[in-house]
Amino acid sequence: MTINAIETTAGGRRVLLLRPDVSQPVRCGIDLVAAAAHARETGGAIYLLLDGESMPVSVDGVPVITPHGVQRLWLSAVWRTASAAKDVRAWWRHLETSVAHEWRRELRRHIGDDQLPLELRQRLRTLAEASTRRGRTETSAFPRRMLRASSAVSLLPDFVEEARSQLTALGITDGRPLVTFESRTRPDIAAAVMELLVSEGYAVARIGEPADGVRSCDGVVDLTTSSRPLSLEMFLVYASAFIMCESIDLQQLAYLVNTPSLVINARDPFVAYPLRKNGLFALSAAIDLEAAQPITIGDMLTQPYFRDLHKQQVRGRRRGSHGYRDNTVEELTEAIKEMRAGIADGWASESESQSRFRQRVVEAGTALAPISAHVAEWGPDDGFIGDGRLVRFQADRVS
Amino acid sequence: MSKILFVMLHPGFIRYYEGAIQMLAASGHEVNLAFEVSRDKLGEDVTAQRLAASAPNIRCEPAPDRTESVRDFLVRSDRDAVRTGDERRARSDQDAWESLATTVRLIEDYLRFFEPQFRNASTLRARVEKRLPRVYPQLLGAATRPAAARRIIRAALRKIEAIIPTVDGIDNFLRERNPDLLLVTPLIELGSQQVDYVKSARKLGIRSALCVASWDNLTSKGLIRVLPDHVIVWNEAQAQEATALHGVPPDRITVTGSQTFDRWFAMRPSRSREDFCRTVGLDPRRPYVLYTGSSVFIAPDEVPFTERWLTALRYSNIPHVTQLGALIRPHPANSRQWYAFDSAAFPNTAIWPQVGTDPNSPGFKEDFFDSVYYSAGVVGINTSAQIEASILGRPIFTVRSPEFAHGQEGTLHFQYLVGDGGVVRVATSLAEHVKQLDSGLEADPGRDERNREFVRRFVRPHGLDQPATPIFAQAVDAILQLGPSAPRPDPLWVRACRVPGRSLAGAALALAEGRPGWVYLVRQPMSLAIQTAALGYRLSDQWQEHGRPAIKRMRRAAWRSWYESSRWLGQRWHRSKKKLLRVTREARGTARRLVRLR
Repeated sequence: MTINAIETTAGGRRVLLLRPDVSQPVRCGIDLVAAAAHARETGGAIYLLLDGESMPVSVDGVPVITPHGVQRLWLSAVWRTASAAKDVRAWWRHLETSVAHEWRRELRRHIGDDQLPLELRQRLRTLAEASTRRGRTETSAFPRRMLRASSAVSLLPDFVEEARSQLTALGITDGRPLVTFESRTRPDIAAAVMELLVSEGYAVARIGEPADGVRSCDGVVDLTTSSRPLSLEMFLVYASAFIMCESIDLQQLAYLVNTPSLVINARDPFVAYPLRKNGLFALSAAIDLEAAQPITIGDMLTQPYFRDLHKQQVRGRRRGSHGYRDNTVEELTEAIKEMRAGIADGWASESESQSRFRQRVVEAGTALAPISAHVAEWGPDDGFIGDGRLVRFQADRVS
Repeated sequence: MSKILFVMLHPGFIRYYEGAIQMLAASGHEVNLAFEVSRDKLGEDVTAQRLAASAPNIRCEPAPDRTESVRDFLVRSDRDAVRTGDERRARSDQDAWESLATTVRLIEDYLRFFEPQFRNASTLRARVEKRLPRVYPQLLGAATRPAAARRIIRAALRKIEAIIPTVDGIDNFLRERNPDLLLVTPLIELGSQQVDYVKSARKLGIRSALCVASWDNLTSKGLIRVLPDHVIVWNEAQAQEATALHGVPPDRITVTGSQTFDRWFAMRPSRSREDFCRTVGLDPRRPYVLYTGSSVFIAPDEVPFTERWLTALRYSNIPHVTQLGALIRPHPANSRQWYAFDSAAFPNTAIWPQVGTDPNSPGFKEDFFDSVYYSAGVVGINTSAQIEASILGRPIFTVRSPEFAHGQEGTLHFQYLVGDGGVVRVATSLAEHVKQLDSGLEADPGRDERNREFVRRFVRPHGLDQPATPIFAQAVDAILQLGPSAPRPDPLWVRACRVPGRSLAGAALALAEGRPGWVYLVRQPMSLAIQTAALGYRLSDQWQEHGRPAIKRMRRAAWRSWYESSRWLGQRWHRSKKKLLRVTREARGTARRLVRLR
């Protein structure tokens, strides 16, 4: 299992222990949905070790128990022991990786010495490669398969009631269908999209980072400047007809409450690929800054692209070899149209090009996973990348 | 006439001194330019060639190679770099001393950014820390915080700097060139190796001077670790920085003004406004604002901000601002990111010059001048283009933005633009900026006066009508008049300290790799094991090559001799047997005949 849960037994039956970290609600949500899927499969139960307030959710078909008294003490001890063991394993793994890395560097110092016999250098090279393999960090893959089925998680009625009244106070009423919009996109595009949504009859709740220069319009409630609890954000997503977002956290929050999601300006086809049928994503236009040329979506599934992305994101390189252009208003209009059509017809039909693109993502992910930790984490889970789709106009372009 | 040796980090520094060098050459001095590293990213080598061709007494050449350059030092400490063959290269004493020098200088630069003036400069501090092998920031730890501890560490580092010997190659280079004056720039690069030129010049009795090339040099980079005889700066502000931050005695400082901006006072537009607007793709009927891009350090990702800026302009409710044209001028060394900018998405907006234009191409400077000259105002994050705009009396604006905090509040030189006496109007939001544009683009005698005062103070401290280039040349002449300085050989204690200092240098060389301690412990046994294995392989090779064939030959010879001898014996035996049989047969016949006769 790649979720943050511990499998144990309590009262003679198999249970999954979860200790939700409320500071990371999205991670908690994903863990809960995946644990529920696992518990449903094994016929077990979920035990929640809550430190503070309770989670405002219930899971259909799976008993979710909050232990008390001696049982809580015992399960807390089990959790702590298992967590400590996990930490020790992680520490040992890190040490092993570090030693393997340094060992490889030492070996490589000698491999290039042409005074040494060729056979010895070849032998050293083999040793260095073996050391590289040993030193490869283990990645916990995003549990795509476990999250595939629509989660049977629902919000507790008391919480719904309270959250609804809070939203009403913020100016969001039940009158019109709601779209939650989160974007760091160009302010002019964001404004045009929000206007479009309003003209289509939606109420728009704008969340995320407050951005200088974004103008507002009637029908849009700007929640970027007001502070709000994360649970309210969860309700906002729950109450929305669909969400439009850039951040993957929000997309994952949508998995928790089964809200259709449209991810825009995505730069990474693996991370953004939606798990469920009601998910769409649109890729940014990537520009190769060396060649001053746009690259194709196919190029965004190759190793050089991910190497550059990794350098930018993980190694903190301030400039990569790729620049990005946000999705245009026309593209987003198309995407919204597709989202509305999908919601209306229950995502029944799927084009040939869409299936081909999915297959291509799976193949690229399978090929890249052994050499890229990032793809190993976010890529296909045992051949499954997701049931969602790339927006039609891009999918048609790929094939 | 005198010989001047001007050591520059790379040919890109020529642009700051081109006019001054030509003026010195025109007055009969022989000017020799030496570049520590070659660079042609922005066509700097072309500038060097052009300068060398402009006068017979200007020569350009590479400076002597260093065995352990700062670049090598940094590459070696890169944990992710994979190199082969390091083991083969024997490390010399010189490598070790140079490693120690770079280490000491980088630590000093690192400590600098813990001083109270740099409390907002966390990114500058991080920039040095990234270059230092990890062990040093860990070792320094909390000792970087108290001022007294920093003073003690710095004093110790200065002592170590003193015992680092001069580089033979540089000593020889200076002896060969035998200059009357050594000029160096920029000297303050992080971990700079130019310090060794100043040290060699002191030892050989050659007068030396640091030419401060740019307005941020004394505040955003490293320290002047070994003081040259003279320091030539732009203005009083830099003179104060040199004294307060680098410990340069005021009597060594000469203020000349900024020769690099002289041409901005003399230039005139190269075409009419209509022609210019038509060329760049703006509506000539509308005024435009010029957005000047900043350097990589200040604004690594400037495009999203510019898009927000343009949106704020285009969708402001102020018609005067909405209809403004927008001309974007990428920073020549940070232009690549602008390939991702779609200027067509915004009306009456253009990028000029086109991204990737060679800064040495004809008309590049004129284009820049025209862009500023015809603009109604100039906007930028933090860039020297804002100084150029002040020379032309344009209203100048900036917007404080969180993503650029490190390049605005996090640098001291930004204060010259926006602090007391600064000429840049600062907004804390785009909405405020739009209002400033609305009110600030009109003619304003008060602003013109502020601009003039700023330029007089910052760019031409000797008077607005006094070009800085001749003053710089005169300053160099005046230094030459002083004659050579007395050679200052190393004192006895310094030479005595070099013996134990060698181990320190060796340690610095090893630690520069930034590897964990156990690596150094296993390195020797591992090398020994590999050499032993190599011996085994060599013996095996020898055996395969000579031993086995010899044995084979011997075996074959033995076989052959046995075979030959046995065959010979067989034949002999056969023959003898035949003979014996014949004899026996004959004897038997003879016997029979004798019996028959009887």
